[in-house]
Amino acid sequence: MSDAETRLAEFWDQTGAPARDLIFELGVQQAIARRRFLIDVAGLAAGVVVVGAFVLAVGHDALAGAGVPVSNFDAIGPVLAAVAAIGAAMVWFSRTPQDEA
Amino acid sequence: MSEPDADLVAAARRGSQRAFQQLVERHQQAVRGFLRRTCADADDADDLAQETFLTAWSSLLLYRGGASLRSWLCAIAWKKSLTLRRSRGRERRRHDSLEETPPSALGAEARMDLAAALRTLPDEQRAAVALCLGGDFSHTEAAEALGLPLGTIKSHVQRGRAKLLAVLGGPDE
Repeated sequence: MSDAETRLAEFWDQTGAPARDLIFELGVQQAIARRRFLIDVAGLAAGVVVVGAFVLAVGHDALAGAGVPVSNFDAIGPVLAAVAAIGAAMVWFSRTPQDEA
Repeated sequence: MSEPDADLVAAARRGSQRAFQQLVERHQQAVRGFLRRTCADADDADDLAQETFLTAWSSLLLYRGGASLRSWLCAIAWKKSLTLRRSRGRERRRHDSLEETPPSALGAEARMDLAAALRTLPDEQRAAVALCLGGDFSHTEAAEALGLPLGTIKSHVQRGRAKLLAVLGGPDE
């Protein structure tokens, strides 16, 4: 190997990255955790919207069909939607970690 | 004995964060080294590397296993690097952090000359040189990472190497 080649090899060594970098690896972990959180929140929000819309759309007829007296669905609709949201939140907060450990 | 990439990818697809972390640990040096040698700024390179792994995490299902995992990662990194360069424009290129590397037998002047010479190489040639000479990628892996024909990679590496050696006063073949 010529002197120039040796110096070129040294240049590559100097401009590379370390074999391990815990700060970098932690940064990636945190970025993934943030992304995972956003995905979960988006999924939860979408679920709430879907359930809420479903409740508002068919809740009145379903309750009336079940023999439940519904005199004012405008009042009970938001309550049902809130119950659905709380239920979805409970499911979300009670989930187990996905990591297989 | 370490698990093969394929096994870790399969586990990561099933939701194992630990498996993906092992992949990051295993390949961060190759991806960051590649980006540091192709980007004008080491901080930008590390940011891009982090984005690369984030994209890989969310796109693992798209990895078919045809290319090596590090080639696939570097392909993502390369696309991100090009996007960043285009968005910033060439005029904003700054001196890279090679100036900050510790003193060594390779003098600072020679190091700067090499860094400058590396920056003057065309994008694809610089990337091919960074992978095959700077990293230990085979020509085939570099071709997969950069999406270029094998012959083009060989040509890029040969010419790029000759230019860099010429800066050092060595034989430019």
